[in-house]
Amino acid sequence: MEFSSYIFDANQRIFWLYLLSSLAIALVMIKLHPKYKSYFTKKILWSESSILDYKYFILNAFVKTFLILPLLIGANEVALILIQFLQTVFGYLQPLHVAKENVVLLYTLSLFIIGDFTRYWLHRFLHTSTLLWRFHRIHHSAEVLNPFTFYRVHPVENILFGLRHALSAGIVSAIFIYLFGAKIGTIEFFGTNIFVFIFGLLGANLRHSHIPLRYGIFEHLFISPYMHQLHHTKKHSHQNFGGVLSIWDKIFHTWHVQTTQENQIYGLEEKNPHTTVWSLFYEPFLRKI
Amino acid sequence: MKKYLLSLFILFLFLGCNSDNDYDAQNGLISGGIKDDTALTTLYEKVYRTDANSSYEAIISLVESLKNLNQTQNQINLQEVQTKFKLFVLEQKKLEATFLADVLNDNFLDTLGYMEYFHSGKNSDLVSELNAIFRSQTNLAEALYKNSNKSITSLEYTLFGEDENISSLLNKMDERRSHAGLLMGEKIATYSKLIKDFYINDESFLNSMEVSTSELLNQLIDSSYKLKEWRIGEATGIVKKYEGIIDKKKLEYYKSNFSIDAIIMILQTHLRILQNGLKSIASSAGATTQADAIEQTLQTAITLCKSFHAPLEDSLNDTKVKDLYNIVNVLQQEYTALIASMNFTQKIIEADGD
Repeated sequence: MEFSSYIFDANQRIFWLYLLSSLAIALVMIKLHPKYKSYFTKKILWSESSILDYKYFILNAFVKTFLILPLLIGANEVALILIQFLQTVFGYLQPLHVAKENVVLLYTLSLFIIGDFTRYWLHRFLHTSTLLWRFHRIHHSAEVLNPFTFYRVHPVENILFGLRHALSAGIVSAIFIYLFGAKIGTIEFFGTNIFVFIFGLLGANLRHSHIPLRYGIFEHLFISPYMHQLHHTKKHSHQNFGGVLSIWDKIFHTWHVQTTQENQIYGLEEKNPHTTVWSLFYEPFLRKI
Repeated sequence: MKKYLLSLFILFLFLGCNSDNDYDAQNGLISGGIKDDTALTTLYEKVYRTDANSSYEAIISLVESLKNLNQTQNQINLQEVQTKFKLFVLEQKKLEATFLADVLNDNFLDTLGYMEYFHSGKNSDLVSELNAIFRSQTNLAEALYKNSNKSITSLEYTLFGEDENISSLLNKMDERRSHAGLLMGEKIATYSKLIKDFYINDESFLNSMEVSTSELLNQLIDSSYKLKEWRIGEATGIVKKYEGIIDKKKLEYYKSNFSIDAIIMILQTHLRILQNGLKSIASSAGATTQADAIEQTLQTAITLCKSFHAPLEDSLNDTKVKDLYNIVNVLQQEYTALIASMNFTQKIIEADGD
């Protein structure tokens, strides 16, 4: 993967337009609430935790590209295996006569909803399983949040998310291809799924920041950056597991918002064991449960 | 200083690193994005319009020969009609292999069904119906009131019987039977003209590349499935429904022994579709490997078909038939893989880390 694609590809969280929109939202919020200016200073952006994020982002990109990618099964492979299975069990089905536009809309929506649902559960398991938490805690070890904290993820977690994606997208795609054949496709904007684009534009990068952007009553449907910041606090780290939709947290009783805007303390309950890039990689393997 | 060096390093990596690897975990699905605009026009021109025209010319030529047979009922004319029938049927197979008129215009939904009566499960009924019509004294045009009685399948029986030799057929080829053949030919020509005129005048196929490519791929998968199951598997007892039962009457042209030629023509049409546009469209959507695999499989299947020393009707016990079935099965799977590859550029925002 080209490094430049991280900022020039709308499929990436730090796509320039998403960064720009988040910056614009942050500036408006600082204008409205001058006290937020303190969340957007060199002290935050060049803190030890942030610098660790930047270094780790670069190193882990290589790990993902050269060590993980060649080993992972893709959604494509899962879809093909499953289509064959469906055809063997239920027989060949002549593609249903439905307008492509409708199939594309339904497919785009299904990918988004199923993807978000599986992301919720994997994220929840990463917290509730002792074994998985040792890997996920490196993400939560960030004591200061910035957009690159998003990439502070252990390679084992990358693999798990890769498999989750392969399975969820592969299953959805297989069902759609089985029913509608080649009529599948996604609604795109700037070359990415429309829902991903909207999510990116609505301040997704503020999720890993200290700017408490809230969505008001829409927080019953969507995870606001503030809700995700709460998830990064020591106190509420076992709540708000959702990616984009908060309905999963609602349904499975992990939804949390609060009206008080107290100063949040991010990071782990225990002493942070991750002070170097290398410790982020190896510490989960050495740690005693 | 360290901060500036780090910033410079990050910037350098952003701009300088080049690798075309995509990490699946951070990617989702977006459509591959078909970019070759001219491919569809070329394909429509070189395959659809050309084949519709050829098929129409072939049926007109056949109708002319049927007129001659209707006047003479002699061996020369019968043999000429049989030859022309084969030429027309093979042209018709090209058209049928990737028929899209029914998708583009609802008026054509039943056209192919009216033109041909294969795989309706009532072939034996058709033969007895036709025999009754040939024997009866009622007005022929009225007797042939059913669409199935004016189909290519009926015409095949009229001209070939059930794989009968020429002298036996000549004995049966009276004025009524040859006249029935002419009426069938004329009816088929009417449909053929409708299809030709539609393809020549209608441009809706060219309106949306995404939609047309989807429909085309669906048609290719459907065609390969029917080729495998209906045209090979059922007669040879490979499919579950007829497991172990070999029955040449389940072949598409068992009366005229043209079944293998029809299969070759269908496969060649797939190949022409690929080489006259689909491959280019697939490549533009990042699925060159899959398109190449399909091309290779089609060539293998065609070569295998051409290696049959006897008509398929007499080769149903040959192991090559099972091989052919398996190859077409692979072809069907490769089309599915092509669909998946054209839709799985797999780029979504990184899902990890939340």
